[in-house]
Amino acid sequence: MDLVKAIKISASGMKAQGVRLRVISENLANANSLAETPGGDPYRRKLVSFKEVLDKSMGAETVAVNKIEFDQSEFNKRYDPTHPAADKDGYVATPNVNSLIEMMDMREAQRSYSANLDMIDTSKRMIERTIDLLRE
Amino acid sequence: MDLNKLPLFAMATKRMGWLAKRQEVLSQNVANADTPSFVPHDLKAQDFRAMVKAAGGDSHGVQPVALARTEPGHLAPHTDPGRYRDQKDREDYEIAPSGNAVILEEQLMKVSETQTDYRMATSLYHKHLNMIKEALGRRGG
Repeated sequence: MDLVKAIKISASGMKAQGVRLRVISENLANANSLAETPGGDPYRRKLVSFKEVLDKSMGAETVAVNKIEFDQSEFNKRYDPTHPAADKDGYVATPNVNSLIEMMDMREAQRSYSANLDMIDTSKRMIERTIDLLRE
Repeated sequence: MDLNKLPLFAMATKRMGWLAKRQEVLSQNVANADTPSFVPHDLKAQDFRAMVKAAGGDSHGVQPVALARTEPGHLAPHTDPGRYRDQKDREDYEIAPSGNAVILEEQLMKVSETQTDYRMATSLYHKHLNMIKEALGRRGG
């Protein structure tokens, strides 16, 4: 049935946005995770991308997480010669996480999530309308 | 009694099927609102004229839902085609840098439209069913 399919597709969208939100919180939580060894790499920001997937049992295009990649941009640097992770010039590499960007990304994920939720709500109401035909 | 032999029931059922399919396509669009290079889809609009024809209208332009004139003194039904014409949607979309062309607002507008139309189809179905029940004389026990 098409309406049940619609609900499943929306659920796949919500699941994908959920993974995205998880990665965003990983980034935010690790915004201050530095290296353990002198001159080592700190936490590297992660990125999520989505793709269309054909669900063969359902015969419909759902959405899934494509892969989780690393942001290859430069690390930030901070002058702190007393820090255990400082390199020989006294600089400590800090993660390439910009909390402002992460917050924006989070808002977008939230928006898409609630759009999918609305879709489920609508599909559900349409099914209810159909069932109501049985009532007197 | 096969209800789908009655044109109005057949049309309402067909309409509900079309709207359910549209809902599926729209949820696909919304689910892929952040998928790179995804372009949203929509169903082709249903052709009302073809539906009327399939429901029993003939090719001479006689409307199956029009009243029959059995006496010459009857007033002729008003068969003005009406002044509203369907219009093609402007292709009013924008594409994100990732190649994604889904606009959530537009999709949700379509969803609410689908929901309203679905409600109308089920209500029509219900009303006609009630009409038949009335004719059977079983209402109120």
